[in-house]
Amino acid sequence: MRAVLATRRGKFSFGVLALFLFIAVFGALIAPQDPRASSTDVLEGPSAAHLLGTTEVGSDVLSQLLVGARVSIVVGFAAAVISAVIGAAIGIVGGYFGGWTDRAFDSLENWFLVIPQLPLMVVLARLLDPSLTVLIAVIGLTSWAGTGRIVRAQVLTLKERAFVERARALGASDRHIMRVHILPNALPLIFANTVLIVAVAILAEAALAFLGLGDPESISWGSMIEQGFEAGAPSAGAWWYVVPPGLCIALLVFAVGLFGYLFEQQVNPRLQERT
Amino acid sequence: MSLLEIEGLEVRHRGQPIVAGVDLAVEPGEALGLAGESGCGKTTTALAIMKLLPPALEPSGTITLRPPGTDEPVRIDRRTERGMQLVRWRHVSLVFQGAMNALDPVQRVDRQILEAIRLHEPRAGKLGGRIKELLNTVGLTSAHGRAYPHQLSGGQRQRAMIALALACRPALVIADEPTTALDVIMQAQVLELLERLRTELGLALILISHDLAVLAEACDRLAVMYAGRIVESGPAEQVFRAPQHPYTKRLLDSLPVIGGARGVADPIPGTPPDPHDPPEGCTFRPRCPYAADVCLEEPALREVASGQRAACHFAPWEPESWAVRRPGGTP
Amino acid sequence: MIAVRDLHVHYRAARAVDGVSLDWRPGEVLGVVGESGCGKSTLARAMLGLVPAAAGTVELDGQAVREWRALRRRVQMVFQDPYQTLNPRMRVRAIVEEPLVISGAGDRGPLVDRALADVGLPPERFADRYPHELSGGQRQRVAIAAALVLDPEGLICDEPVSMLDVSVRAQVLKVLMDLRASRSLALLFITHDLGLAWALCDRIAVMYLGRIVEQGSAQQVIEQPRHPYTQALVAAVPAPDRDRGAKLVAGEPPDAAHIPPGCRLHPRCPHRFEPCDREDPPLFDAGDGDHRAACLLLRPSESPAAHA
Repeated sequence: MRAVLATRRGKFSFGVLALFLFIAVFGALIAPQDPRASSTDVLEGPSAAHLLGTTEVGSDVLSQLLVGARVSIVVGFAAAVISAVIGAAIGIVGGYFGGWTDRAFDSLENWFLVIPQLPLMVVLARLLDPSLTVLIAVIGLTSWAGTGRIVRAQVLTLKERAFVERARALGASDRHIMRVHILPNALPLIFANTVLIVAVAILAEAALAFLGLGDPESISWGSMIEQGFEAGAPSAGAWWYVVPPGLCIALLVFAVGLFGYLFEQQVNPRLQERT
Repeated sequence: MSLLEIEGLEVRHRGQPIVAGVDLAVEPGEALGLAGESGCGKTTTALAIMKLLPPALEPSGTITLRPPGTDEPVRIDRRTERGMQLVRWRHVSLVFQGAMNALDPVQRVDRQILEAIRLHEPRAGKLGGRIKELLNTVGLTSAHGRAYPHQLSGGQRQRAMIALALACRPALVIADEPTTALDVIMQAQVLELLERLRTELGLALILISHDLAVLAEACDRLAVMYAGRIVESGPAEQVFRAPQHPYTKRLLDSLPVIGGARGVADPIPGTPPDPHDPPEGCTFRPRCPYAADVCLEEPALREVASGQRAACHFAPWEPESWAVRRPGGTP
Repeated sequence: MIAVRDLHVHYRAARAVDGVSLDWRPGEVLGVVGESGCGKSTLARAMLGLVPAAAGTVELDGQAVREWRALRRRVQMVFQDPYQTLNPRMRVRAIVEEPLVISGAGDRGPLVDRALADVGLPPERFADRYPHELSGGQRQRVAIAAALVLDPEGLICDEPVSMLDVSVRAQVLKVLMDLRASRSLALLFITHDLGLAWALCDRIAVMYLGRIVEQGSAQQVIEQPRHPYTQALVAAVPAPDRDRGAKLVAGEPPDAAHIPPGCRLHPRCPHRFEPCDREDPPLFDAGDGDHRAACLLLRPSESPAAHA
């Protein structure tokens, strides 16, 4: 972690992430106005009263942006965590036991990898009630396979390491070995991969919201863009409505991706470290 | 004139010397052993001779090579990288530590030897015969040459590396831990091979190892390094039988001798010093059971017996004086 | 204490252990010596049930072992590479504690402290460190502490010091021999280093290609080797006055999937004579006490003078 922060790119991406996390937590408090409050200043450009202009019902875009950050980020991270947990569990169990278990999991992974993620999400979101929890579950369930693959490969090498052999010689059970020896050593890789999944999850949420499949009650960046298009903002020239959320998504995904990439760089060669 | 002469070699890392005050000479056809443990600077010295030090290490001092058949001596310390490419392999070559793994795994062995020769003699004609001869010299057949490295055993790969090192007929070969990973019978075979190469080809050898017994057997002269400095040097058998520095003595004591005393010798306490924080005076002082106040002054490497030099204030040591706490028998 | 009877261990086509019978008596320091590929490491692992035996038995106190857990509580193993045998993400305390955790023992703290103290690593200074903060010798001592914490009767040490620097070896070996004295531990050293075997072992068994070719007291085996392979091993040990002309064995050992017929050393043996490529010698009595070697030259009907 320290090594990543030592670089300029590391500092930048971490800084952006920290900023967005701050907004996610305190967004509602620092928003200048109630994001849902309507007013008569409909689709007005940026002004002193509304720094980023207003929506088609006169709500403050900036406030919506700040509040919407929470949904995007929460969904992104939560979905990524679910994906990581499923992927890691399957990767570790399959990789460790090999044989039929591994082959079965492998087929499962293949299935999930081959199916295009977005259409699958669309179908699932359509079938189920669109709420935040469902959204998180859907995204999580469709993105674990990549993690599973990577973790499995890592586990294959880990289980041949001398300290695992030594644990077996001590009479350790498979569960003990997986919990105490395999998992902790696979964690850095899992973490690095999960960070990248966060980026994917945020985009997925935005896409689903944009397609109108998100939670209609909540405000997110994706829903803002969707509303904006619905209200005809692009043709009306109301750039302040759709560009800021779009930019935020892009920036956050970029920062997450960069951070994850840098972290993975640090982690991967280290896994073979010998002093 | 010596084949290789090193004077005042010093290698610094971030301003601190990790090799200091090294003076060595190798005569044509002579085998010099460089002994010491990991981190003592022997590999660094070898890399300095080949001018292959990583950029973080800065060498100083003079290294002079006088290959047979050349008029001008080669000042390695003054050569540019371009200039060194003419020297490396042609006049002096290196068998790396862990050489068994230094072969390119996706190329046949004979092709790798071919590549080495072509780099130095681009206009050489058909080389098949020469490669076969090289392989035979190290006890390998053409079949071995056609194999990939992973198809050969550890001993065979080591021999292949030696063949590679001989490819351009250098006058000096530096072998860094050539027998460390080998079983004892293969080790004896490799040592006998090196001996044969010396007598048949007049090859000079610098043998680097932590195993003093190997060096005592295979070398004419021996230099013991500790913390980047030479603490003792002299004729191999003499140093082995009558060491003149406490470190050498303790190292020799920790070697079990077949047919000799049984049981474990007392280990040397402590650990080698951090080059960035060296002890005052003699670098061995914190671990030396014979240390006294005078040891706060760094001892010079001086002649203490015929042909033998040691960096210890209390040298020359009589065999009996090792047993008492204070050297020379004084309480 | 532990015995193996006619043990065979196969890896696919390779007969890594090809009929080995050996006794390891309580409190004894036994050395199993041989070069790489001779099967000594496999033998050690088979003794603890870490690899399955194709034939033969392992006996504990004269009874064939059925359940390995009981054996492993009494005999533990120390492995070769201290840089790889410790989980890099576990602190020293957790590593040494692990065997206790696995066997469900309570009150682990004092046992861990005692084990660490016994190997010369005071717990106050070392228990909270990670392996990468330790030197090779210290790591190996942590591995020994982890093996000691269940208070075993015996330790199998597979090349315990071959990856360590020469001056560090003495530290680790001294720890092992001190433990032998203080805890009445039996030790089994697997090594290719004859010097080590000479210095430490009471009895030595020499292995070649999956078989024991010579066994006896350390003195007998090393000072009066009777098997040509042992003779070659002893003659190959480097020393300034080594006899360079000594008859070593030629070439290199074949791999365990292609064991030669008859006496397995015969293609390389300088003393080979007529029956050696047909008959596989058992361990013959070598004359003095418990000393035996598997060489046809020792067959009572052979007269030594005819084959000098």
